Amino acid sequence: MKKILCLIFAVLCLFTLSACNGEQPEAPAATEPEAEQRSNVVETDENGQTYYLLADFENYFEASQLGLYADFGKIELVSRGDEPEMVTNGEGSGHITISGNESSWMKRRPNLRISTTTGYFNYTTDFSDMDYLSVDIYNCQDYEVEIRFYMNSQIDPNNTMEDRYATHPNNPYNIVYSVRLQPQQWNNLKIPAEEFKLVAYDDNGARYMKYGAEALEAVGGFHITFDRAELHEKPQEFYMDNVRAYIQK
Amino acid sequence: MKAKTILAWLLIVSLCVGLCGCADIRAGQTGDLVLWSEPSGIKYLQNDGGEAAKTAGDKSVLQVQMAKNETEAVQLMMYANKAVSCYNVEVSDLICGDAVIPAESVEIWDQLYQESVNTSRPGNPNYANGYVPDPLLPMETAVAYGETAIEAGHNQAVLLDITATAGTAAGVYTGTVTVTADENVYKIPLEVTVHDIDLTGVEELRTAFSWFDRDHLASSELNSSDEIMKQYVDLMLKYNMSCKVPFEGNGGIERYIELIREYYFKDGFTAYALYYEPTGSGYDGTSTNVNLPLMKEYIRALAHASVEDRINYLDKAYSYFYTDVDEPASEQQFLDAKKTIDLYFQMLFDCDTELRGEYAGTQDYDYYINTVSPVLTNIPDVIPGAYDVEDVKAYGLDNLTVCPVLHTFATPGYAEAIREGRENVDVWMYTCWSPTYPYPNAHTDDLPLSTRVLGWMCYELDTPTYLMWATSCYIWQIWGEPMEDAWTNMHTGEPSAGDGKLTYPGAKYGIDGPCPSLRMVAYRDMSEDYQLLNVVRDLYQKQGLDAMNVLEPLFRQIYSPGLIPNRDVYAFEQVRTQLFEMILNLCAGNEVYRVATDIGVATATIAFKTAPDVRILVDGQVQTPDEQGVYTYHFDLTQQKEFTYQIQNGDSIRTVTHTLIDGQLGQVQSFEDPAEDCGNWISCFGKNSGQYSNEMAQEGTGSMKIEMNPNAEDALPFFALTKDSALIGGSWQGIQTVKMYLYNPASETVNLSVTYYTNQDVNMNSFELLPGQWTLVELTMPVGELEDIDAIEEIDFNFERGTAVTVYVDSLVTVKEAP
Repeated sequence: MKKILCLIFAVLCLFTLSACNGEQPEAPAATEPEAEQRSNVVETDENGQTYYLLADFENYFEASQLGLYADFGKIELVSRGDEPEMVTNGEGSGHITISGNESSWMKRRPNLRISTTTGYFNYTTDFSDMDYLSVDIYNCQDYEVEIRFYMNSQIDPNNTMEDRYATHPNNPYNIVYSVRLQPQQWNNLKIPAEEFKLVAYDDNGARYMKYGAEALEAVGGFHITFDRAELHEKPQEFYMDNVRAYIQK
Repeated sequence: MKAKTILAWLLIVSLCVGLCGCADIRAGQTGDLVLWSEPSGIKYLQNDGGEAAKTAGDKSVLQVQMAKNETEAVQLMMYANKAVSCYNVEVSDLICGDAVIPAESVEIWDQLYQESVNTSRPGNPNYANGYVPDPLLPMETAVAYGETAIEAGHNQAVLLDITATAGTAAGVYTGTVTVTADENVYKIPLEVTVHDIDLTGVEELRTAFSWFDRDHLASSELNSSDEIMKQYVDLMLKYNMSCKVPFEGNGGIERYIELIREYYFKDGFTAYALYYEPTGSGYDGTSTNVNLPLMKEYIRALAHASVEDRINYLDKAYSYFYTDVDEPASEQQFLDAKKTIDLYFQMLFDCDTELRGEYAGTQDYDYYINTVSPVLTNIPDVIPGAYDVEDVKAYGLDNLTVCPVLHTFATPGYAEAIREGRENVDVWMYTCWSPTYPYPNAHTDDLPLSTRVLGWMCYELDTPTYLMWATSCYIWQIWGEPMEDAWTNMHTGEPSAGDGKLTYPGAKYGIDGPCPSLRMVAYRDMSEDYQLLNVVRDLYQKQGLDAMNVLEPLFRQIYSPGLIPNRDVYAFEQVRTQLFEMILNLCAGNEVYRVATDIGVATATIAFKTAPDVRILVDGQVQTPDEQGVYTYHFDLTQQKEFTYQIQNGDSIRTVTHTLIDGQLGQVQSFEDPAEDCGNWISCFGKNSGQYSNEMAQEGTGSMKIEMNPNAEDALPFFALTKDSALIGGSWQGIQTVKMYLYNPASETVNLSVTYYTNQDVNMNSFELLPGQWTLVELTMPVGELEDIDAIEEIDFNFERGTAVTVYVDSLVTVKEAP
């Protein structure tokens, strides 16, 4: 009898406490607490090299600073707890599915912009001291895949290849650095600073190229373009994490 | 035994604790949490210092009225005297006899707030700084994500959106809204009146909402796929916001036709922008950035689908080449617009020629020629802009579907002028960052009511399509950076709060697709109100009459002729009540059809018709209409203050009393005697002069002409009605209103500001004197506002500084309290 009464008592206590959210599922915080957000901090890796962390896919707020241009596809945030093998830094990474194809709006290539000017990783736009850009990408396909890198400049965006039309496959200004990703493994990519180029014009209107430090003085964002979806039998999938701009020693 | 007793007592105590947690506290009482009801048209700052809660006492029942096949919202307001860590809101089924509106038909939305500061809302300087509600989050999601806390001293609003289907029985439904706030439970009655008026099939306001391309929303959704766009389109349609189908090329023409076939019959899908790409190299030997050859293929496919299905899919289509032609202002822009429009219509003509050839000799030829072809060759090309009528004519934009920004219609005669010579082309209306307050728009820092009245304006101005340039711009600027948080950032990158951002990205809260806003609810209501007005229009059309005679007085109650809304949401709700009653009485044969209602200063005319077999009785005498079936009555307002008649419809008799004048009309000064000193009645000072004139007359043959010279250095140009004038006779005692007619002979509107002067100027009212018209100026005396009404030395009629204004005054009169 005591047990029954205790049970009734316990149930009643639970009932009175469940007025507001007793049956609601536990949900993640929608916004990272302000105190944990990144600021103007240059970080140092295990080898003593310093870097700016540009994208780390740790939470919605951070990921929403990325630019998804054209019919890119989608990014799903995954956690180390759910997919421990698919995270290379921190507690999360981005699972990317590409869906934009040949017939999509103006035939642009799916394009991801890692912005340097948004509210989260807003260290600097001057990357003239950058040594190389480092990106971890897992290629889910069972074949090699080519992706392409380029940057855009804030100095004269109309003359740089960051223009939205630049991702058109026939655009002659599409100056990119191509990388082939090995299948079904993490690819730690290191893109040297001198591979980032900028179309510029002198005072006489003559066109010339800027390379490396000169091109990287005022970066608006680093871009990655992917193959259009129809070039492959099924939508391409990737995991991306730990995008860093390493600083020259 | 002892242990059992202790346990029993524990049980009793715990039961008592539990019951205390569910105390039934009626809304409107003061306490930890004050609850009350508000219409959907109003919004309160979250941090208003408790001002809104002071009105809670008499608004303890959540009430809403609607037609069938309509959705209408009511707000549950909460004010926390003591901080609330978590609240939840639930609703019961709504019962009316045997009929039920199930709880699932009531959507419960938690309102989230955005900080409004001067720098984030330059459009509306009159709105206080603070936290403004706009984003709507499903209640269960708000609870799950911990968005349901209220700081002490803060307001929190919850929106209840109730839907009555076409099958919902008319009646008054009642239910209960349960608010759980920490340990307390509050129960508030909800009363929903469903009128026996069905909006099914009633002509809708066409809407043309754009989102530009999906780059604008993809970042905040972490998704730019066709699937996420479908979620956006479907949500917008739910709020009667029509847009293009979720397509940006993927799957090509075949997929496009599939989507048009799917969306054409969806509720709310009233208009769609045709797919095009700005990748063109030219058409017919002329350069253009619009890829017209590609567009022609899409239109050909739509025409083929229309013929095949015998459904004209093109009749909801329009073209809006926003990447190439938008808001022309300079000569070059108008020339570019002209070139694009001419090439576009050439393409339509070529397309039609090809299709005529293809269908010639087939069984589909007649359908194509009679149904599809006339529409195909006239698919509107819409270009929004702040159009000057002369520009449109000068550049020969005959085929252009002009889409002027709303406030341009405020210029008297604009609508008529812009339509002149364009009988076959609609005139649309649009808003964007402009116009700003006090004009209506859909800016976050204005009332939802402001957005809602757009539908009423579209009806009065006969602009059957409303265009909004963007819906889901979660970016800082065009082609700029994503916003830090679209939910909390009011959108500071545009000149007006929230412009171009009406939805909110669901990804933040784990929702697959967007969430709506208070402004989307207002847009939905805008569209449904337009349908209600069309119900009246249709009833009048059956009698061969124009409903404007009866609707215009309603319009004037909610916005001025200059399109400035009256932001009194309670007055608006009263107008909706009048509209519902009017429709119900017309349908029942218990209402007359107004042919004319003209109530002036001293005389009034009322004319109306009735439905067949309905009789009119005045003083018990059956009335006889004229040959057209019109009953006409003229009144001398010095003799008669109201008009009572009876409407007899079978056994039903309804008595109607029409108040002609509220009070006792004094002697009317009509300025008929040239020898009379007008200065006895109206005083002119300084550089202003007034004298008798026979040039204009509202009544009789004369009036008083007042010429005001520009006077930039000194006081405003003005004239005055002084306490010592012959009309007032030394005392304002007993005077309720002062009336007069003013005539503006200028070609432009003159703004008049009326003040009274004691030892300072106090605003009374403002008027727009339309050009070439007599305007009735009616002033309510501030009875009760002043300790001594005779402290008023004069009423001043002020005009804009630096302008030379001439006006004529006639029919000057006071209305006093009835003896």
